[in-house]
Amino acid sequence: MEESNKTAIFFDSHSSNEAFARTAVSAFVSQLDPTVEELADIKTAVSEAVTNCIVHAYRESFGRIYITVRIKGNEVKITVKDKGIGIENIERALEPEFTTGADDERSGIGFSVMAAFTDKLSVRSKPNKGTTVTMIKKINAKSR
Amino acid sequence: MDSVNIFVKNRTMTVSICVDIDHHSSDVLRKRIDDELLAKNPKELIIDFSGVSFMDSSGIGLIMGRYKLAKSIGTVISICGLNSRCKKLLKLSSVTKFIPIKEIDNGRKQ
Repeated sequence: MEESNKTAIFFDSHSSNEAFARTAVSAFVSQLDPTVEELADIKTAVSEAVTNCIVHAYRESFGRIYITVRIKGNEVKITVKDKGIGIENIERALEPEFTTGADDERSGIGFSVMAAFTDKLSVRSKPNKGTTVTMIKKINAKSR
Repeated sequence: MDSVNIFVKNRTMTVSICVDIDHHSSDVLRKRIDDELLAKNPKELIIDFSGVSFMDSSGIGLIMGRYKLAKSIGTVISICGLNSRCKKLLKLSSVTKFIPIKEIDNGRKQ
């Protein structure tokens, strides 16, 4: 049976925690001996997910952001969850360059980046309940 | 070290960013660059990313916003010094349709 390993962190939705979140996740994933490129992909994807929580989910408020990372074999599963305003139309939110935050110079490609930089992306959301983003990334390290 | 160094020579303003670019840091960067841009009104603006090791899509927003402001005051903008990671990110947006990416030509290693 493949061994699995899991960690969970939560933190307040301050933008100063964006760097903490991506660094913490990449530190945990490092035990799989990923390439620099793979690790950078994960850091970028996590940064996008956490930024979405801060900019959109908790736009008018502060709240907690919950991240779990599970490693199973060479697969990393990352969930980023908030209890914010939720997404009314997920399909629309996933469209490239669509953003509801037009005034704040948001590029609207957050979900496109998460999708492009990981192997699988899924988004579950309920208005006024929150959003959970799940990303799966396979690590094909040099040592395996 | 400062997160951004700005200097102007012969009406060309070079902005060298030396910090990870995310939603948190881009607020400060935006203000610094815009203040200088409006004060100096250069003919050309070059944003140098060779000091940037990490960037997420906030960097795209930062570039597009500076492009719009520069255009409104008649300044021509270009970007340079992007590592392969930043270029991969840029390809997901339409930024490169508007803004030329230059290779660094002043002898510095990328």
